Amino acid sequence: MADYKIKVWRQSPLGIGPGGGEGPGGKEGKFETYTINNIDSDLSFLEMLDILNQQLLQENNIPIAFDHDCREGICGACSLVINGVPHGPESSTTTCQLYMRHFEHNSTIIVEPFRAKAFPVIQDLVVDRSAFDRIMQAGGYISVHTGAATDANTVLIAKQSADDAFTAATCIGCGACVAACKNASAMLFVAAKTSQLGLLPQGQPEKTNRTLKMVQQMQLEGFGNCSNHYECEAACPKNIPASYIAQLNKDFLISSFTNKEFECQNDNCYES
Amino acid sequence: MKHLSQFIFSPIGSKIIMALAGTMIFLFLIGHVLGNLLIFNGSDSLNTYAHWLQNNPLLWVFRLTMLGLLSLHIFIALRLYIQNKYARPISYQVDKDIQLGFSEKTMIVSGLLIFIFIIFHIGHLTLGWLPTTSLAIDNNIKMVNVYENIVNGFQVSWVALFYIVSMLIIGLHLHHSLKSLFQTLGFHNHNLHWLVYRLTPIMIAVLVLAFISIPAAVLMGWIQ
Amino acid sequence: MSISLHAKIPDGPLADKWDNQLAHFNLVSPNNKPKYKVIVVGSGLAGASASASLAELGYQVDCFTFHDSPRRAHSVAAQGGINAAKNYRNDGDSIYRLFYDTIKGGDFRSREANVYRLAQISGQIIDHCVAQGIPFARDYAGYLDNRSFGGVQVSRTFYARGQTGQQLLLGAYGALNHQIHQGKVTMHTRTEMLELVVEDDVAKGIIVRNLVTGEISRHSAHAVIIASGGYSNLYYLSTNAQACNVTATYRAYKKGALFANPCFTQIHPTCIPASNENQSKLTLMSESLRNDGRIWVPKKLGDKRSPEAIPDNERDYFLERRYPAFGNLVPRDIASRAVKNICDQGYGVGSTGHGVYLDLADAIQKLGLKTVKERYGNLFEMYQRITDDDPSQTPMKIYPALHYTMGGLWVDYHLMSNIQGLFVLGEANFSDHGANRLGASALMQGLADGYFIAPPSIGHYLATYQPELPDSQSSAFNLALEKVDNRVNKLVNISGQHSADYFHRQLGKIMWENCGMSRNEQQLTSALEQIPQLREQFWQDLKITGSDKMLNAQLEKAGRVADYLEFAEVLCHDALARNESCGAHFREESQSTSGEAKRDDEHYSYTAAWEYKGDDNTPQLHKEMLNHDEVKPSNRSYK
Repeated sequence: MADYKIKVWRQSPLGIGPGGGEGPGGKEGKFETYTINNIDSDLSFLEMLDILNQQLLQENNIPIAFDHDCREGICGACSLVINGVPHGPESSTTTCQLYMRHFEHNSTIIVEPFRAKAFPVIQDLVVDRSAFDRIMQAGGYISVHTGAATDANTVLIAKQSADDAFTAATCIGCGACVAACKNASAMLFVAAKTSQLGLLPQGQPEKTNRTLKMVQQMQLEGFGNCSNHYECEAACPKNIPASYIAQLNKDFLISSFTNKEFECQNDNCYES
Repeated sequence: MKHLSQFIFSPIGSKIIMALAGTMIFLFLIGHVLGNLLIFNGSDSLNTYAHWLQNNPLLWVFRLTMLGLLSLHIFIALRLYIQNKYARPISYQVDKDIQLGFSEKTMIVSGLLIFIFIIFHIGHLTLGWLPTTSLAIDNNIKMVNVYENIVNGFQVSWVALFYIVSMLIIGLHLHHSLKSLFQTLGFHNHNLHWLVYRLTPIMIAVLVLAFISIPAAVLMGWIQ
Repeated sequence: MSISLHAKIPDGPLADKWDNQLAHFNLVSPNNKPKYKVIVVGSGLAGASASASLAELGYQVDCFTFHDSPRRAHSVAAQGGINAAKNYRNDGDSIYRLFYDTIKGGDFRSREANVYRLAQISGQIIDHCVAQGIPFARDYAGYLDNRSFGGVQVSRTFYARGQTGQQLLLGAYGALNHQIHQGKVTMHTRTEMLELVVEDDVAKGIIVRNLVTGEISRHSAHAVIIASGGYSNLYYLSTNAQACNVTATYRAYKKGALFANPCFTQIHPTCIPASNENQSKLTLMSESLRNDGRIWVPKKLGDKRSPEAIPDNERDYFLERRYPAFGNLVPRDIASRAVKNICDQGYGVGSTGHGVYLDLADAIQKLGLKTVKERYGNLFEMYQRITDDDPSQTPMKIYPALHYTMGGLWVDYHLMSNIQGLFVLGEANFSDHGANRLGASALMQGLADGYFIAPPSIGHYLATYQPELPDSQSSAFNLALEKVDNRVNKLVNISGQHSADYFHRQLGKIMWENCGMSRNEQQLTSALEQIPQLREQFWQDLKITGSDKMLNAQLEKAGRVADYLEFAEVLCHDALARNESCGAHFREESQSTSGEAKRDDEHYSYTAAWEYKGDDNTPQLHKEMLNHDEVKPSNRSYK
């Protein structure tokens, strides 16, 4: 059993609280510190927040909003920057799989939302990660019509390629790469997504278009650029290596000079 | 043309161009240090070499190319830097580096310091801003006495120290740049990666030490 | 309205039924398709695949999810794999065998025609998913790999390491994204369906709440698809994600849709047990652990020694003892019940006594730690991360947990409920798994429904329908919207003492104790007394802070718990009415002398479809009798 001080970001950008007053943290947001006692070391970080929220509720305060769902590290909904690290201090772990045994008794834990221009705060610790969806909508798929496929074993894929594609495909879209990057860059996310399809034979016909479109969308969303710091790789709960960024750089270079159709649809793509 | 500008202003294209420009400058540095080392062969060697350079018909083509590459490198770096700052308008209360190195973190600072050094360096030895530099033709050797300019210059200890510190900063800048180069250009072969990570520190150390050896030798009185 | 349980199964021999149906479906002409609008509630495997496939055909689709992105749906968590009758291993698999295994696995409580169609489509799903770029496991020659899964004798399971669900969902998400990009699907994220609008016995649309702003809005369409998943979370602790709920299907039930076989709830034997009161979920560990692991408890009651200190002859390998032929590999329901029995007798281990050891020490000794780690390395890591115990040093503790619900809204062969124009897909319907689902069949069913069955079936329905969009300002919509508004206001203004979680936890306890792995009349009757009391308390003593005009997780939760508090009764009624043991449903009154499940085909060979009769009345049971023309029911024996 341990006690903690939780210093947490509160913000109500809509500016609506109960009775029409200002919500917790106000429109601009600020940190609030709460004390929480008798926390079992076998509880997960989110379960600790659940208890804190119950406590806030009992005190007639508004509970802290945070995203979560599967609580087994696969849906990518949970986020949070805990003591300066996305998904907390343990490596290869999502916040929902982070346990309180890793935090010292009586310590202060600082909890912040993922910070990026492309991930605006919705409320408290909840951020809008729909920029990732829009990047995927721009081209993160193979455009096969339902019913058009040939027998699954007509396309042979070398085990190595399948494995490499798989490693990229383990991305859960949580956004920790963006949160960890000093530039709030989404390169690891985009690289994992383009590589997954680009490494497979099925993904070849649309490869250059896909690469160019997704990179363009990434730029339009206002993510930063890659400085090869590899903080993304270190923060990734699924350990996706930054070598996929090299793959994306190469694919982008080749695509830029071989693709004749792709045209920037938006004037903004020259400036951002 | 449209495709090219799309490429240049894209986040990845910018980086590739910056990396290529940086690589050219790095290759120039290798040539530069090899020329400089002639100083240890005595004044005649260095002065003859310098004379050949200064009277080379391609001198201005070369100078303008280097200036262009440098400007491009700096322009893109600043543009990316501003974009990157803009991408995170609110910073973290606690921003812990998970595995970020010193060289990586200080690229923009080291880059700006190197820029200041370059201006000083050109001012010092090419434009003769310091009293220790004489651009007049030396009557004895019938050309500018570059050797003497260098020796006189580095005998002023703050100048020598400034050069030495600047070389270390260049080393710091290169440390991240060279490791980054292959990543940016899209090579991520495992063996190459292994080689690059082990060879670049050695390469940089040799280069920086070679540069430093000159002001150091002057300071120590080994070259007079 | 009058209820007709007409399953609309096409004529002809079993193997030709689907082809006959396809040949006789009504079609909508290509230039008319864009005039029809379909609402899809849910964006998991079934919802995303249906949205994408319908949009590809040209229909306008509006897809709703309460998640921030369609990629987060709980389909993502399926680990094991997806079955398909490809017979790539030459081990004698066929469509018929997959059909047979599914019927038998479902303990003869599913519809033969539906199951046969599922087996027929299974191969197409794999073809389509490979074309989408899903990185299934492959062998060194580049061909797709298969494994045997869930106690069947052929290798027909396709898999993508331990995250087949995520990979298949990403495929469907990709297809959905493609259609969103084309402008054919309008995606509504962070939006929860709170009411179905039915007019003249036809589904006309839905009422939704925007979870960020609290705005309540109306959406009309020519057809409504519900693909909102299962209701395992009714039990509070389950392997389901926190937000999984019964609201969409339950709201449809309250509008007249029949709820079929709600008591068929599957329990997964190998989950990490709860360690304390505040635990929010149980994490599933792949069943494959049972291939090499041995399950045991101490022979002596109250033996508190550490597991390593207990010598082999003082351990009770109870599954091996009771089921010598199958041992630790008996089906899920049998393993789960055996574990519960032994714990109820007081032999359970761990701080709560709700756990048994799953021991890999023998396997490590025989195969070496390296081989064992190759097979289960990721599970070891996961277990250690959660419990802080290293399974290569000390046995894991496991306990069964709610995992999947076979029951769901009643649908006919076209996946349409008894409400015209309301289609139900995936785990939300009851259609294919009978009383128990085979491993690696959930993904198959979700995708079969979404990619291949719903699109032509919905076209068939729409072809008889006028293309004018139903009026969303009609009185039915007004009424439904007002109802939602009132309900939200009521929840926010109760001003009691306890959170929604408090009531949910109590409900879960009532259900787990009285309607869990084994059920009897007395317990079920007791549950039926306790639930209304708890519900009453909920409506008097709920506490929510904050307003309904903001992101308010407490309010979302309260709405879902309110529905669970009503739905739990339907489930108990069903469990009470089915006085036989079949599949996952074990009635203590119906067991053999040796304690094995005893099915009663004479009296219970039907699908129980429950009709809502008002808040204060018992729901009415309708029976769809099942035909066993192809496979004659036999007894399962794993001795």
